[in-house]
Amino acid sequence: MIKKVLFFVISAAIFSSCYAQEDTTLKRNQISTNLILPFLESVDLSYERTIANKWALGIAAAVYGEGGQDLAVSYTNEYDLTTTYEIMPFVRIYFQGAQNKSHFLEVFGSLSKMEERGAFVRNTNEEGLGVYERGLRDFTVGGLGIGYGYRFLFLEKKLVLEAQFGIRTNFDVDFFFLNAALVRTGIKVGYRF
Amino acid sequence: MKTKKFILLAGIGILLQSCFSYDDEGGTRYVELQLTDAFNFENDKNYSVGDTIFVELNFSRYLEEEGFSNLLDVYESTDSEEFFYPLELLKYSAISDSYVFTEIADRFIFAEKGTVEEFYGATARLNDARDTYESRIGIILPEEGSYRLNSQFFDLQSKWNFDKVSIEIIHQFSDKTQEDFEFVVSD
Repeated sequence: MIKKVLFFVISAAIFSSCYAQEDTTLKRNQISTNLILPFLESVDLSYERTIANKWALGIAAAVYGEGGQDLAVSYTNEYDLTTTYEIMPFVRIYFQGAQNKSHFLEVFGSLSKMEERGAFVRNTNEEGLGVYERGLRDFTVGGLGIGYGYRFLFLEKKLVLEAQFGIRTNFDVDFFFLNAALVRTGIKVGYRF
Repeated sequence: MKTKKFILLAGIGILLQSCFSYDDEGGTRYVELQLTDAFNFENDKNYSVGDTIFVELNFSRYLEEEGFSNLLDVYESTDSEEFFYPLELLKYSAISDSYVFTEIADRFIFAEKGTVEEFYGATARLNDARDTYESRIGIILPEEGSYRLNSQFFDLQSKWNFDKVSIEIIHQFSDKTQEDFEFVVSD
């Protein structure tokens, strides 16, 4: 099913681009979304602004469902860590220019809301006393990631199709890989204006 | 051009800001508490060979924890019926001009409350009322010399349990010095 949808989207974009006329006006803004995430019960939205010939700045947000945990590639914690949502500012360099189809490299930050099942939390019992018990703990954690991909442009460079690989890891007091995950990885479709 | 540089710098700043981590709930399995003057050693300073000294320790299972307004139930948190603490006897050595560690043979140490443990320690056990950890350790003094109970490391440790937190209780004396734990045994 996924393959059929992707094949249809890519084919439609390629065919339509054959008839497109060159548009010389610069398009500095782009919104896009990852087509893979909905299959993982998750969704994201990215906005980026071209700030120079090859450079763009942007911000993305993703909300993860249960399937979104499949993006994780490592766990070094004894507990069950899940990411519920994530905000990712990013900087991109387009090697062939920000107005052309191009390879790109990006560095992104990450601020995620995590849930840790089985962590020790301090509750108050019926007698009003503090007691440490295993439970669900929410916390916010920062991280950094890197991504590489290729961006196709169709329909007078208004339609965007990207293939990207990205990986980020979170930082905590231990400052080691807590939960490296393939965020911002997938096929993205977007609109430039 | 200046605007672009500013935007680029602001973007990089936002990226680095993302490295910030915020965790207000703790989540650690190791909890550290403070306890003051829970140990009691009635030091007569001068003893005769064959006398017995006693070290007592009593502390409530409900202890204050820094940063929280309510008391912490250490028993319910740890499921630990006992807390281990080191108990070291030092004896003055003229050749080293200092107090050196002295092993105590099993027949010269006993517990009236709690237990005597291997590796120079003892435990305070939860009493029958289930509200206080108690320990009373007796040491028989079979030979002459100048002694000191090592009071610097009276820290307490709960028993390890994978499904519970571990609590370490750092003990301190408010008005006692090393000299308050020194005594002489003579014939």
